[in-house]
Amino acid sequence: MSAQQPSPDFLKIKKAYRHFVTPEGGTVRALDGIDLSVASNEFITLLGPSGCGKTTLLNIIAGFERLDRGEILLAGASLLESPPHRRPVNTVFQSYALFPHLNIGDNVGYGLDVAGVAKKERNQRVAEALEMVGLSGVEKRKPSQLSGGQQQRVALARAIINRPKMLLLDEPLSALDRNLRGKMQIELKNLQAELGICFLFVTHDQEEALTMSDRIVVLNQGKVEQLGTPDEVYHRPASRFVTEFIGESNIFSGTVVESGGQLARVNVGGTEVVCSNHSLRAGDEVSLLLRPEHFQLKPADQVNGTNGISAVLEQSVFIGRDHQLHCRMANGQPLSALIRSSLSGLKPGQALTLEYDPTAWHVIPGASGVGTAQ
Amino acid sequence: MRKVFNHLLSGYGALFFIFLYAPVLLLIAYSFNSNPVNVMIWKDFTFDWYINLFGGTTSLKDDSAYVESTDQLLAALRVSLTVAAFATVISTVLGTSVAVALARYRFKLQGFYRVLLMIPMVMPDIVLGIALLIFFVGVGVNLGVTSIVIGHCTFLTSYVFLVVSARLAGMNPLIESASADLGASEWQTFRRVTLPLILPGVIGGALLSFIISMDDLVITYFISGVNSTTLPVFIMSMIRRGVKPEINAIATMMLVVSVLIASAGIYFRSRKTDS
Ligand SMILES: Nc1ncnc2c1ncn2[C@@H]1O[C@H](COP(=O)(O)OP(=O)(O)O)[C@@H](O)[C@H]1O
Ligand SMILES: [Mg+2]
Repeated sequence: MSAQQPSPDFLKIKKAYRHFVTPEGGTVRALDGIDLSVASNEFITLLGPSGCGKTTLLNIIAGFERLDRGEILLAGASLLESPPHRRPVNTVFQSYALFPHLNIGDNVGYGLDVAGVAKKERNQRVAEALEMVGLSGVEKRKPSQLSGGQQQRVALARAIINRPKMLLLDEPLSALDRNLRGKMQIELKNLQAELGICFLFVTHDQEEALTMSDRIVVLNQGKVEQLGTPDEVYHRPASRFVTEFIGESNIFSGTVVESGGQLARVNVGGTEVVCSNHSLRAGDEVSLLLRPEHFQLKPADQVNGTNGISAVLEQSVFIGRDHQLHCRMANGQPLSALIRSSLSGLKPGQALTLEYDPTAWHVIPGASGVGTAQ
Repeated sequence: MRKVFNHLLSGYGALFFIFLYAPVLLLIAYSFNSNPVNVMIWKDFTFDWYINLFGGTTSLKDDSAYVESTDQLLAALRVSLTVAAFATVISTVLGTSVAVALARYRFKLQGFYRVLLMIPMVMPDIVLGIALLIFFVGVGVNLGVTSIVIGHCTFLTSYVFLVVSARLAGMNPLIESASADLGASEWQTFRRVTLPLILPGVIGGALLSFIISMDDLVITYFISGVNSTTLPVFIMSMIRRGVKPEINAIATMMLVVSVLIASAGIYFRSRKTDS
């Protein structure tokens, strides 16, 4: 829409804190020192488990909640002093929150009506907005006469009609069924590109976050665990929390036995694993992560010995193209691997050797896995 | 066995409703009884009591009716309607405002205010009546239409508050947030979103107030002046001179009007917002 140069610090959140007192008298730190910069044309996703503070952060940007301390700047100006109706951001609510007494046309045109836009322009922009979300010709219907997916589109059209500088979306797709959700994910992404504005999107669904985002902010208990592109967050998770939250992963704690040159050997409860050496020293505690798809299954006579883990197959599940193997290592720890279906014909109880590329291991110092990845 | 039980249950249900409505039905029936001396002995069917009330000429002897002149009755009705109209408007505005305030804003002693608003409804009428009388006399307000209106507002506000609060509690607060988010000021949000959504409750509360105001006897009895008798107080004073069939006719008409207003109230309260 605009040919302006995107600004990297369009939205700036500085040391944002917000706590709540629970009815039992305890304290919840909904935002615990959030720092964040968002570019003006970015699709950025807040990802985290339920209760990690995602909605609170959106509410503070929209003006429905206040900060304990901290600052939020939009295009260089503080947002915190303006009431919600004077902020140049619009929200798509989780439950849609359409006006039940107004028809679709009046729902979408609401922002223009309160601003006193002339009727002709108003009607034209309503039609445009509805067309953008692929929902023309329903102006006269009431929200209750539309399906969930259609209501979702109305909520979207209503939120973009004021031409906000930034759109806040709070789990907008969580109420839709799987197929529709996939379709809407693509449409939302296209809409964002078309409008050229910043989308701040909230979800607790890691798959959704990975598909849609330019960057992902992983939140945990009011703190930013990691900020990065989907690729970074998936392949180089910054902490054990991120690893466990994003995708399935094998996570082992172990002690470095020997390091030298390119590789290090780590003892994981009796099983030895070889990984790349990130200036590790013998005796260091580390967490090792490997995605299931990074294991390969070789016929028993082709294993070269060092870069394989022996395990016993417990269960093999066919999931479309691949088989998911649930195995158990000699030390009793579970291990999961994704194997091409052509290699199937495996039986539970069978002994396997699963090979890996040592450089595929993601190493996080410290047994608990908190800390920065190398 | 099961069948017998079901029959017994239906019978019990029928008896229950007879118990509830028999007196009222009897009253309506006897308002058409032409026996001027003994109300409970049926003589003939007649409209005379109604005609007499409206000042028409009938075959009734003069002393068989209480109402010396229809003017008196109409004057009492006029006072009742005036009081009900003013009290309804004032208490609807007050009750709605306080319900919105308590539902939408957070402040200290909120629960306590809520209780304070409920108390006038459970307070014995006689206590409220005497208290208001002492208050008006003490402050120097002349008893009349004004004092009755003020008095009625003290408890009608509670009823409106209750009905509107129930409506507000069923409303998704995010809808108001959405309105603000789209650029509406607080007043615009109230006008365009909150009020239309609670309107059925507001109208229902207003109609309820109107009936209760028209119907109130005890409190009004204490705070009505000599020249400002309401209909219930007027009827009460008639009955002191013995029960005559005419009273049945007045009661029947009041009943019809009340039922109409109450039905309208129930209709508005239960009406879906999006229909
Ligand atoms: N108004 C509130 N009063 C008390 N606690 C709240 C309030 N809003 C949020 N919280 C708490 O703050 C935490 C973060 O909530 P929220 O931002 O809604 O999480 P999310 O949207 O990520 O699921 C939760 O523990 C929640 O219980
Ligand atoms: Mg939430």
